[in-house]
Parts: sequence; structure tokens; C-alpha cells
Amino acid sequence: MSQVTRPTAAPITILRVPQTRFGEIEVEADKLIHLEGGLLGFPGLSDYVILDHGRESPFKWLQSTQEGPLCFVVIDPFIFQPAYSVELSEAEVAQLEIEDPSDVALAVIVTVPEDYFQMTANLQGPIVINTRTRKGRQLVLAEGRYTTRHLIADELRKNLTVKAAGGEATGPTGKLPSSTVK
Amino acid sequence: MLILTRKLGESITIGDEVKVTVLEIKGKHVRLGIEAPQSLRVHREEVYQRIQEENRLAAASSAVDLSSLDAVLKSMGP
Repeated sequence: MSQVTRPTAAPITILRVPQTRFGEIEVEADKLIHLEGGLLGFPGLSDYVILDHGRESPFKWLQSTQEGPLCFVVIDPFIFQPAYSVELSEAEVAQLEIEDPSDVALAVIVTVPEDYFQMTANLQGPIVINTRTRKGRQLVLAEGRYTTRHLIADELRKNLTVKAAGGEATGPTGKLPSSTVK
Repeated sequence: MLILTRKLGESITIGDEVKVTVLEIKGKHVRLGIEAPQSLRVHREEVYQRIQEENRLAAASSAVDLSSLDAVLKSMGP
């Protein structure tokens, strides 16, 4: 019988985040996303992690690792608006250290009113993330094309049905760099 | 509020790193050029306010069970 020698695993730094809606959670430090300048309205809080909800769910959590109670529902906008497009300025590309468009993931924040069917996504303030460097930023798009309250339930249902019927290969949850809640 | 009057082409400096220049005046519109470091956000105030407000609403509304949202989508049928 041959012996299998396992290589020593590289050390993983674990961050503990107390008082989240999941209780105290553990996050691998290299899964952190650094949002330059934080989110508008929440300055000074720039460290977040994206947590999966369920394998078949398009919704994810954007969880602050600095303030447990602070958490947002986010979604990859291409799931319900395949034609969504955002132009980044040269300065933004440089600041986020983007080298290739494939480095980029977008997340938009979902607001959930009492009537869940009326859930909206903020398409005017998308969060751009460089999945390679884990740097991100909330953009403020100029007036005109997109609103801060875009109704998503209908479009989500339509696009998820297309994918279920064998449409695109992206899968129902998009390409946001997420991890599972521990 | 500090109030300064500028003519076309003139500028204002704010701190050491921000400069605002009046580039064009056309009727009721003033075109402003802003030089500021990347770390400072510069936006039209009303849009900024709206995004900020929506972020706050979203944070307050995030205490939902995502399974309920999934169920909403499923319930809408094919």
C-alpha cells in the first residue's frame, strides 16, 4: 500500500464576525472584498464578504465584516437584465486594478418592501468588483438609463425560466465571488 | 455656506486637493470642472442623495428570509 503524503496546507486567516443575522460567523480573510470609500451612506465600512444563500438562489448576502448587523441582499444584475451595461472611467479601471473585463463582477443592492413581489434593485448604484484583487466600489451612474428602484421579480422569473430550459450556461446564481456561511 | 462669485474660467480651491473651475455658462446652466483625488467622491448632489437613501432602505429591509424571496419567484409560475 502506498502512502499518500499530503502537502502542508497554507495557513488560512479566519475572521470572526459577531452579531450577524446568522449569529457569529467565520470568514476566510482572503474572501474579503474591499469597497473603496465604503457604500454611500455607510462611510468608513469598507470590508465585506459575499455569502451564498442557496445553490439555486440568485440572491446573495453582502455582509459587513466590520459591523455584524449590517447586511444587504445583492444580486448579479445580468441574471435579470442580460443587457445591463456600465462604463467604467479610466480612473475607476486603474483604481480597481482591472486588467481584463473578465476580472469584473457586478452586484446590485436589492431593497425588499413588505410586498416581496415589489422587490427592487438599485441599477443606478451598482457595485463593481475586481474578482482578482477583491477591490470594489459602488458607482453612481449618471441620470437617464437606470433607476435606483428597478422592479426585478418579473424579469428574474423570465430569465431564470430561460436558463432552466437550457438557455445560457451562467447558471442561476451569476458570477459573484461568494462563499458559504459557516 | 461660503459664497463666492466667479467669472467664466475662474476657479475655487477646497483644501489642498480639490479645485472647481467654471468652464461654461449657458443660460441657466453652469458647466463645472472638478479636479479631486480618486478617493473623494464627486457627484451631482440629488443622485448621490438618492443612492445613499436607497442603500439605507436596503440595509433596513435586509432582515428577510431569502428563501421567501426564492418562493416568490417560484410562485410566479413558468
